Amino acid sequence: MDAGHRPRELVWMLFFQLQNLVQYGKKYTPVDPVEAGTPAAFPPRPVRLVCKNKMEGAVNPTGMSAGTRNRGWFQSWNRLNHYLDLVFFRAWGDLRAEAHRYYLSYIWWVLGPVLEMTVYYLVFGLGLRAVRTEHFMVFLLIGIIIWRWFDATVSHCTNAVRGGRSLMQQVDLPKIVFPLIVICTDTFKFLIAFSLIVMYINIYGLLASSAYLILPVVLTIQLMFIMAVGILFSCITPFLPDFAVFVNYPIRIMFFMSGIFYDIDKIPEQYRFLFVYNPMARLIHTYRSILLHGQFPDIELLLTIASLSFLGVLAAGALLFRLDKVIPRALAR
Amino acid sequence: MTIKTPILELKHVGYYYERQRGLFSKDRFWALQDVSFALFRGESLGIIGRNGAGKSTLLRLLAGISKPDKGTLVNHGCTTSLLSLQAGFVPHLSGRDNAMISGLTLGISKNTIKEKMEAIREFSGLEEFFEEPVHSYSSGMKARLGFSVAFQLDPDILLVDEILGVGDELFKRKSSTAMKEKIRSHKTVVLVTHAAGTIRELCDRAVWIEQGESRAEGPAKAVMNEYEAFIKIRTKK
Repeated sequence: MDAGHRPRELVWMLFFQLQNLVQYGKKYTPVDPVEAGTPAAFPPRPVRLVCKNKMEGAVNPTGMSAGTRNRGWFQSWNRLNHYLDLVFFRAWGDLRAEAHRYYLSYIWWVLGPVLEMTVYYLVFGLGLRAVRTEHFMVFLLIGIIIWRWFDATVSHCTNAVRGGRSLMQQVDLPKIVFPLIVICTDTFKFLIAFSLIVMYINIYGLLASSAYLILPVVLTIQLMFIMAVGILFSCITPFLPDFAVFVNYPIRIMFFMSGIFYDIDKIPEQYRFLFVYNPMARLIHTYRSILLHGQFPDIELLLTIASLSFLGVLAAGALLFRLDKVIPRALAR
Repeated sequence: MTIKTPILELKHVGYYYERQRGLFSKDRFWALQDVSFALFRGESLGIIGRNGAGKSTLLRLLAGISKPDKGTLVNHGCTTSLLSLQAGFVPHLSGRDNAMISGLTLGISKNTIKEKMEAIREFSGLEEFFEEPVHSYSSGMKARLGFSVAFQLDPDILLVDEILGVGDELFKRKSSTAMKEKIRSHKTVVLVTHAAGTIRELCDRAVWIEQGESRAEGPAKAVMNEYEAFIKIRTKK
């Protein structure tokens, strides 16, 4: 195993520990892939899958599954790296495929966000002058871009597992691959848009400060939050397709409650509680304080969001792993 | 001859699908009810059955995509893979990119695909079209690329669903020869089909599935004779 993969492994390790705990109720012990693969050690411990007869109304205990899972994914790092290769290559492929569909191909990666920001500039910057907030244009654009990352990724994730229905009937893939691919593509697009807005802010005159150093941390925390929500939602739609439609409404409410058009600091005290528990409102506020005012954000707040999101990712990931064999049946209908 | 131990065993395996019967009511359709057989190392096992007998469902269980709802399925630590063509193809990407994506999806490692890339290109016979986007391919060309990639798959147990040859006459002959060689070799193969002739030609042993139940298991020729006798009786009725 080369050292380059260490950080990746750590994240996955935690995932699989939890998955194993949830699924098999025991601690994860890695098996030497070489030993498991050689005919000498063949057959390694037989794994019995015992299910009581459901026809007689008995409860089905969670047994080990057949197929590649026994030796495969969770017991060798090669497998983990394999699925990360798949996620990254597929995400990069999807991005290129999307670009090739249009005449301007890769230029759209930059042109898309520029046009979108221009629209907001025309409507709010030149048109509606009613709102009196300092640097209102950049204030608004930051909110929009940050929100778009969350909104686009979560709505794509919602349909991701369901979208892989035909593929998962042919290949035994860990279902988390599907939302991860979407998260990668959307995050890539966001990062381009975000770099553009940061450049614009600097050209506009609000120069970079040392607070920028914490930006990668804030971005990572938001990514975790997006993953937690996205993976959780991707678990639901295979069983309840209507959820993909329904979820748009709570998300729209969240959009208006996230202080994209206004500063949450200016909300009267008695209504402040509506925003305190909205991570997106707090994150957008954090980005603005870094980018516009050069202020270091509230570390305690960031830690809270980070730890909750991290637990959320683990829980949602564990749920998706647990549903691994149930989802193909639900989607076979 | 030594006494062989099975590497995969099914005992009274059953699997159901759920059918929606209105807003809250569902009912169960047992696609597999009682299937039992064993698979031994190095053999090629044929699974025969008529349409709707539960062959594809059985393959999904063997591939580990689903797990049985009743009975036991014991896998003694083998990797199993379903030979599926064009899995995960992205139409707007080149043949080369799709070979990579499809290969990774099927579970072939990145390095193996890189090594085998020229062999895939050679075998598919796509030549300069290999660098062109797949949406410009004819369906035959897609099938050829899909086969060339999937053929590189090398699990402990290979599951084959009717795919022996694809594409035009020339490629069909080439691919089915390659496939047959693979089946006849020491590889453990499960071949699912409804053609008795294919199983007679290629398999050592066979299992006959009828309406979700295994009716017979044994030497390929004996099982095929029984199956054909059954079909004859059914057609006379």
